Amino acid sequence: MQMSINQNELDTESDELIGIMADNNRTSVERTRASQQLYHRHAAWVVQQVGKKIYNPDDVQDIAQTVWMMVLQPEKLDRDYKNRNGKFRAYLRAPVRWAILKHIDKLPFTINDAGEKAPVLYTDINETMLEESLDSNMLEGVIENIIKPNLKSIELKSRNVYVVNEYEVIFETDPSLTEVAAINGIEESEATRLLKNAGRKVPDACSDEEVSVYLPVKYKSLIDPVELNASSGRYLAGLIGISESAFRKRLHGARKFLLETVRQNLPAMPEGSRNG
Amino acid sequence: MDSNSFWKEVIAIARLNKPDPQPVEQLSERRMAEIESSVFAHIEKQFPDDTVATVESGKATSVEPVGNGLLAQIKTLFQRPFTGGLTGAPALSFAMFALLCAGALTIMLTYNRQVDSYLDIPQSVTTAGLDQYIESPQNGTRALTAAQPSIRRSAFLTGITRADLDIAGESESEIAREIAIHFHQTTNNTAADSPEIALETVQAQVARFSSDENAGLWLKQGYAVEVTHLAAKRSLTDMNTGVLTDALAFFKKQAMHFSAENHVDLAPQYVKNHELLINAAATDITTPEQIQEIVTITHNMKVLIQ
Repeated sequence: MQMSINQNELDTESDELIGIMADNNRTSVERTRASQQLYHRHAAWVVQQVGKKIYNPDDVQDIAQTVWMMVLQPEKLDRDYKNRNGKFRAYLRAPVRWAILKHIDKLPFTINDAGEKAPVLYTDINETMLEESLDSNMLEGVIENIIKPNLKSIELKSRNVYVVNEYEVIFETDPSLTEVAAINGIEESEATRLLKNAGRKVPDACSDEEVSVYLPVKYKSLIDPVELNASSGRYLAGLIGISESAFRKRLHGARKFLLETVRQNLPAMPEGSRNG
Repeated sequence: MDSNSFWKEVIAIARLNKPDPQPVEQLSERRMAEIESSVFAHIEKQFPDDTVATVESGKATSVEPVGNGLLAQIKTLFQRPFTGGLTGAPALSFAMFALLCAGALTIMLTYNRQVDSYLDIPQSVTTAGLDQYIESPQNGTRALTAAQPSIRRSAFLTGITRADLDIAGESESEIAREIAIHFHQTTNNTAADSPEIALETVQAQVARFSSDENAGLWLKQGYAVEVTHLAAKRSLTDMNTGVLTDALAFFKKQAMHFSAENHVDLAPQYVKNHELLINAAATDITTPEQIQEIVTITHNMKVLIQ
């Protein structure tokens, strides 16, 4: 049975329960009972908060569990919620945000006193940070599940334009030859052959097929970041061997196709891959 | 359109096409029970107190905590709070066993009393035969279909108590099927085509019963009250208060999950009696008047719990 707590009223009862939990002079039975009551008072609310951001019930369940595992630690709770201001639910929002980010593997890092990379404290995560991470996670899902599988449907030269232009966004790390082959809808053996052929030529002499493999695989070594920053369109157009206006026209066409593809395919995207 | 605009538009489309929010604030009972189970296990680790004092040959000893697996699930079910106690999948499957295996109790009680310890029932209580109040399994299964919730509650309590002992003795299979067939016939007025169909009938009935959010409360509370009542009555006859003391300790352990504000439908009288019993558990019971008072208190609680 869940408690209903009026938002405008101070929740002193939860504070009292936390006091019992943290009181070493109490018996373990009393402290256990207080912990359980605290959970019962807020269990549904936590699930509701997670559910506003995350749609997969399995994920909601996992995140809610994480929240409570983290919150129901008497010493930590006593320390973190020391002001006991009757607003335990306001306090709960931070661990809820933290658990969501942890679940989607988007927990931001900070540098601790020892100069090491460490997860930020959950109290440092605000709502904006959460929303941005959820958007980023959602975008990753769209890229992996819709954009990449549909790149092969774009006309080859426009595909090359799009891939080289959006390389930094669509590839988190340098793509393998297998991934490049999949994007282009060809066998890996064919991709290997094209890569070998391209390696024997100057870029200008490469066919569009060879560019479609060579460019993503060798992107880091081919691209000059200074020139890219100075004028990305002109620079990348030259790299592919087309005019800047043709580059922009093809890029526009590819984007238009992909936006429509995203629109059509989103409802079919696997559940849990676009939380947020 | 620059690159940023393109990706912003992708995000905007994705947001627009988000699935309709599921009413996750009403996450299924099963999922809520699973969360609760893991959270409560976590809580128990925070405040370890996992042994139960028992009395053996007049000397205090302790029962080892049960291990993993089915027995642990059984133990967990009895240690879980009332509202979620019967809603999880393990609880459901266990509850099915509870009904199906009731028939083995008599045999179990006769030949293998040591399994009582898995319930954390003080051994002195079972040695004194206080669990003999349990009715015949046929009556129990018939009562499960009764119209009155109190009768169904009582029957469920009976079944689950018996099955706990039965499963501990690993003797459920044949008897489980027999009882299922009997249950199916009783409820449907037709013979089951197969034991599997009979099992499904039982499972469906258990699921219906388990949807009663207070079922867990009565299951645990009712059992503890019953045991304490019988212990008190027995103590009246021989003034051996050791059994009663153990029964009160058992009641107190079960009562740790009890929260009056979580069950506002409880009669104030019941809550008052509950507190009196908790106080009694911390008191030396030595006089017939004290014992009689506990008999009266638990009798009242039994009436109110129905």
